[in-house]
Amino acid sequence: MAIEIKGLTKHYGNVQALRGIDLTLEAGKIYGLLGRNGAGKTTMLNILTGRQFATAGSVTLDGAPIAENDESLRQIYMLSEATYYPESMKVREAFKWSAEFYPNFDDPYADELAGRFGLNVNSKVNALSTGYNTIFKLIIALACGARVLLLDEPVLGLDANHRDLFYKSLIECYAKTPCCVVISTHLVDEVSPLVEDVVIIHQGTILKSLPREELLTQGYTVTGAAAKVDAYITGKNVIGTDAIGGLKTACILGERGEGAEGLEFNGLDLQRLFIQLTND
Amino acid sequence: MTANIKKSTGYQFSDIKKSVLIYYIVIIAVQVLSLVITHTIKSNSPVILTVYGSSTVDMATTIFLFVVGLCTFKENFGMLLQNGFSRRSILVGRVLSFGAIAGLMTIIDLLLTLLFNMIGNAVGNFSVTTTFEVIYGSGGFGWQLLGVLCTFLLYLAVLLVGYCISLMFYRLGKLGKVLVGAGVPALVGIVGPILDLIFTGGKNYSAIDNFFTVIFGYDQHQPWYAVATLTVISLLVSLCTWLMLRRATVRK
Repeated sequence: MAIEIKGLTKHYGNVQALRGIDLTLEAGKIYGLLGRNGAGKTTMLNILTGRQFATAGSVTLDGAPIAENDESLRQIYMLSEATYYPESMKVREAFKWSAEFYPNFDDPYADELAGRFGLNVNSKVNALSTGYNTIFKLIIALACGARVLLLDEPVLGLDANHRDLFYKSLIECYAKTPCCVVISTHLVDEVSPLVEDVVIIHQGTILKSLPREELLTQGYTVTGAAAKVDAYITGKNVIGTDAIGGLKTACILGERGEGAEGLEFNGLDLQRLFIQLTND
Repeated sequence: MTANIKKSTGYQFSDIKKSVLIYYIVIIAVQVLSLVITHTIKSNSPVILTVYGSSTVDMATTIFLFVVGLCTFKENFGMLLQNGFSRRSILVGRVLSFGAIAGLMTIIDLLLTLLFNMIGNAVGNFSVTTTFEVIYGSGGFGWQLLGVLCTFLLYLAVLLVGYCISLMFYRLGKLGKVLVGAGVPALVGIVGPILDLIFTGGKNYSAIDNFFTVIFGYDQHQPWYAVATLTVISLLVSLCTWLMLRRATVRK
């Protein structure tokens, strides 16, 4: 099972939100979809679920077009920042309808998750706080049994404890049924240990789409006195630098060379790499 | 019927069910109250329940269903797109659920009419009519069936028209909403008749009036004209709805 995205383009008037994106999302993988505000992440996910239409390009699931295809759409669940459940609907009713719509919806598991997160299933959707509204949608996403989970800002409004609980529940759910999970978030450091592949989207184009380990071994950081670092990085493929006082850190793509006295070498971390790659 | 259309129909029918139940509780309460008040007055002359009688039940139902049509688009559309339904399944489910609601309410209204007729006969000084009978006159069993068909088609048409209008407003931009929301009623209801009166002595509006009289068969007491007209209206409105829905996208 794979979602194939080919030449995906989206214009909003004069604004180009997506510029010919090519991407394949495979089953049994957790993807981290990273991008700055306005990079095109939500637009891409909305097109994948038929909520918006592409200006050009195609999206298929197992070779079948997704747009206006009930069979394909039913296999994808998208959690979005906006809530599309009726405001007066109770959480329990939403679970009941989810079970009606998704044949593999695990009702006892949904109840169990509601208990773990402390979500009152008798609350109405419009009575939930921002955090619990996200939890409500997360529980449906984790229990629905869809083959593709698209999670757009899945930890919006969640405190640290609930975020931790969500990451554990996601891994538990994924271990039970390995599906295709796409997590779109700004909390790069937090999702870094979870994701196998990283997709970095910037100004409507894919900058990187690689396994996380491969991405992080493509370069290294060097830290030390500014003058020494400047001397060391001459002629190297530097993707960015940070300076605090007299101390400088440079991110470099390529094989780590010979050590130099007074310099400290470290591997790249995803957040640092992301910041350097997407700094305009 | 595919499983998705069945689910879409079930959800959209269920969404209206509670409103219908509340509506009938109110209608029955009003009817019972009016009967009690009328009986208490103990008028000796026969009372025709044109204000509180069944003729107002079907007219009240028509207005209620138009409002239901207006109120059911946005939330349902978002909910069903969220849960993996195509726009085609949403619309087909919507039309089928409207058909079920229209059918159900036609039967309930008919039963209420019969019930209030029975009560009227028992009390002795009530006669209960329906809008169909007021317009096209009374008749035998076949005529009554035609009345049921007309009522069903009227209910279905107003539901679809309400839904189509709410979708149109959903698709329009801010300026479009103002222009259509305020401009069209002002043009059709105020400016048009005044201009028509000034320039043609009201001939155009009179012609429009005659046109509606003919297509609904008022003048010739021909309910079949109404059946044909309401069917055509339902089909055309469904087509317009599809043209607007097929490219509709979600909004926050």
